[in-house]
Amino acid sequence: MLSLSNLSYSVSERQLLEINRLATKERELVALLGANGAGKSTLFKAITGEITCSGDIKFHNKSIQKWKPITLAKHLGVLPQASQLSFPFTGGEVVSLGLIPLTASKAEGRLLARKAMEETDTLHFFDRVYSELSGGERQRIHLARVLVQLSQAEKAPLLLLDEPTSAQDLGQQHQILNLSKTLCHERGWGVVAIIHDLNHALRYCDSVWLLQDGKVVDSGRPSDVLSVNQVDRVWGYKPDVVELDEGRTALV
Amino acid sequence: MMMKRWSGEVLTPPLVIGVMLLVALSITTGPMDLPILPSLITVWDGMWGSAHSSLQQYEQVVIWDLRLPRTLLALMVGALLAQCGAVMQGIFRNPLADPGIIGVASGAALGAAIAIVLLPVAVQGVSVPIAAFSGGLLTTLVVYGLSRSESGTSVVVLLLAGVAIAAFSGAIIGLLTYLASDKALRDLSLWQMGSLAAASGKDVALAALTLMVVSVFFQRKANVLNALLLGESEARHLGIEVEKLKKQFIVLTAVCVGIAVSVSGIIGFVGLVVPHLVRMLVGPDHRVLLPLSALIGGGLLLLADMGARTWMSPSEMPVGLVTAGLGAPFFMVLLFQRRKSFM
Repeated sequence: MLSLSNLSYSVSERQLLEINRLATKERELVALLGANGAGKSTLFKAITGEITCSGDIKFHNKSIQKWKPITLAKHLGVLPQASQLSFPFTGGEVVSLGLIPLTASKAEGRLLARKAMEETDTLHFFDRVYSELSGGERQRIHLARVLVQLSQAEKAPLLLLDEPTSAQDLGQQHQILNLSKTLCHERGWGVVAIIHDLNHALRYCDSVWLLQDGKVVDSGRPSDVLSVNQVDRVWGYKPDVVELDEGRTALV
Repeated sequence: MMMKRWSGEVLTPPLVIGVMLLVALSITTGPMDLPILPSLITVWDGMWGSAHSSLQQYEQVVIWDLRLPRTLLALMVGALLAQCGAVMQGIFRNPLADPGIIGVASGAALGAAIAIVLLPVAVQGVSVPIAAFSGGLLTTLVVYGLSRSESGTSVVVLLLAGVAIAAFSGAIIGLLTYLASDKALRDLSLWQMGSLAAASGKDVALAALTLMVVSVFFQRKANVLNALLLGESEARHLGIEVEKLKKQFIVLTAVCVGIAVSVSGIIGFVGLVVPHLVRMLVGPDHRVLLPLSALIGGGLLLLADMGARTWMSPSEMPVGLVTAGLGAPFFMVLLFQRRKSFM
């Protein structure tokens, strides 16, 4: 559903992104991994068109620049890492902002918002003041907002998650990853998530894009890509490998 | 904390009735003691061409040429300023933006002052609004350019830019005062204090036209402002063509402020206080915030103007002094409440 080819972006002669080929298909949960400054967020910005880079980005076999902004918004959602709001919104009102590109009556909109809030375990924040919520709670509110935004997609939507787990407690981390998995496997969405916990990638994701200095070092099945040597090369840390049931492994 | 919201549908009818009562009250009060009912019938007569009123001819003139234009102008200018304030706060993503505080009104006043003093009197009907609009637009662009950053706009830079621009235009207006003729001098001081006393039918028509055009645009694009509150990237992700729409909003707010300043001078704090009050009632959704701000802004400015012209009757004070006198302490309270977030 999304394919990138010959993508290149540089700022004052520094090459921030150089990607020959990357692609993701429907029903696939991709982990975007890499050390700090590897170009993960820059890649997201390139996909959403926030920065203009040379190369070709195709979304559902159509150049992403040729999508009408409003149609694209119904199919491509981005969960930001953190979001500041200096106005007195309630949780439900923030989630309802996801309705902006959609056509929905007031009642339909309310229903969509409530459903998304149920899925992200935020329904009890419906009437709470957004600015009084914790970082993790706010992020889940925004996840609900993006779910609303993608709820009327005609083709399989793509969801980009910028560190969806970093502000969450242990239980919520797994809940969000499970939700992402459900979105992919049961509803046929595509999800690309920037995550830092390699074990999350091993446990939940179907494939991994590993970035270093703006280039793709490796991509493929998580257990193939995340070898001890590769982890050492990218992060400068040699993990121990723990064998789990069903042939799964964990890195400690 | 749980948030209780009023819906726009519930609030609008009583507010409309309230504003209509204020209009009736404004038409029937003033230094000349006119009976209430015949005064209202005079307005009716004028609208439908009938002749039921028992007022004398000169008394009818007071109603038609003085009180009615002034009442309507107060409503329109209040509605313009309040909506502008709400829109600016949305674009700047900052609840403290206000045409007066960030210097846009000063810029517009400087434009108007230049037109009054340096351009021929004959073209002032056209040159003053255009100069005020140009001054306002230029200032908005400068302030926006200065204070913009990744996470919205910096409050500190915003306010300092306002101080700098107010000081600069104050200096130039001072110089113009020095050069001005007696007639221009009076116009200038009126402009700086903000007054509705010189309201004419032409002013009302200009303000009404502007109000109609911008209100329709703002209402249709209210969701753009809602999306912008999330941040410019997020707004883009929601399918908003951010750069294009932001420019349209900036130009239109400058038009509003320019027109408001050219008909009534600098009337401060309406654009700050009113959207705040309305947000407390209905929340920050611009689809409800904008029309209610217009309604309440118009009503409050009318009330302030009635205060200004009756308090020390038969002499009167400029309404800008009333709004500043009430609005500035309100602004201080806001600053006090939010001071932690500025550090």
